[in-house]
Amino acid sequence: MPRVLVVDDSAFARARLATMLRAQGYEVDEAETGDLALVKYQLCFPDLTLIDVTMPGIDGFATTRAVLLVDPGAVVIMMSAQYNQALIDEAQRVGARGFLNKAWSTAALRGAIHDILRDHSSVAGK
Amino acid sequence: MVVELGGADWVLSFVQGAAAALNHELGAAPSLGPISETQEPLTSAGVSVLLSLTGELRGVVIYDMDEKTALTIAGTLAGTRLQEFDELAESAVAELGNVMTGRAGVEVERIGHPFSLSLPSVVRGQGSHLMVPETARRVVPVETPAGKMRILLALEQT
Repeated sequence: MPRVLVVDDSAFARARLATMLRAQGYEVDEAETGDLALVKYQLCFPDLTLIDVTMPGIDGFATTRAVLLVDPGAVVIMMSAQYNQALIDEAQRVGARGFLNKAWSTAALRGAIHDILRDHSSVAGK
Repeated sequence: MVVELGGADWVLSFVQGAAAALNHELGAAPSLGPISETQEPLTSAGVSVLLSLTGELRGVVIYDMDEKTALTIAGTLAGTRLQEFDELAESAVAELGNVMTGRAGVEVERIGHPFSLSLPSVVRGQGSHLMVPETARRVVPVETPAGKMRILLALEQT
């Protein structure tokens, strides 16, 4: 099964996503900061990296850029409780393959992740 | 005191967006009380989630509740009964505040007032004084299946 790295400073958000993904059979690693995400990325080279936009220290955009420097083929999806075109555009600009709204239902998140893993070629919209 | 909104059309949109997120997260529609305005100092009922906003709306939004309600909400979000208000519970209510404000942002941007929000922070301690900007302070009582909370808006349109 695909391996997913979940990067979010919120312990609860990480736990919720990890539980949902593990229930789908994914292998899941977690990181609470951008710095830690870079370390874990290079340890596990996940099939998919989910990165929260708003984090203390290195934010999600900078973390995405750094991951893509390490591995230009990385599949990164950014996520946020905010959902607006400016954020989606910025996510796309830094190289993310998709953008998830954390307020979406579990089923919607699961479907979006599944679709992006299946087809890496487009940035997801709601 | 129930007040006229004085043309601040974003207030209702904000509250409706936040309530929609609460409905989604808790699985039941909350009941919203009247929007009032206060000049009184704001004190915490026990657990308060604070977020700063910048952009077309600027200031602070606070979701305030007692610890029992916060624990019930955290347990509902986690899908389990929690015995104590620990770090995971605190993270859960912080994330709820984040999602409520994010959803409110969608509604408020729709009518032309986009904003960015900070990381949520949680203040604990009943009676703690909540420092907010010197702007109009609007208070919305909210009844949820998990208990009562207040949405406190100390925001101004820029």
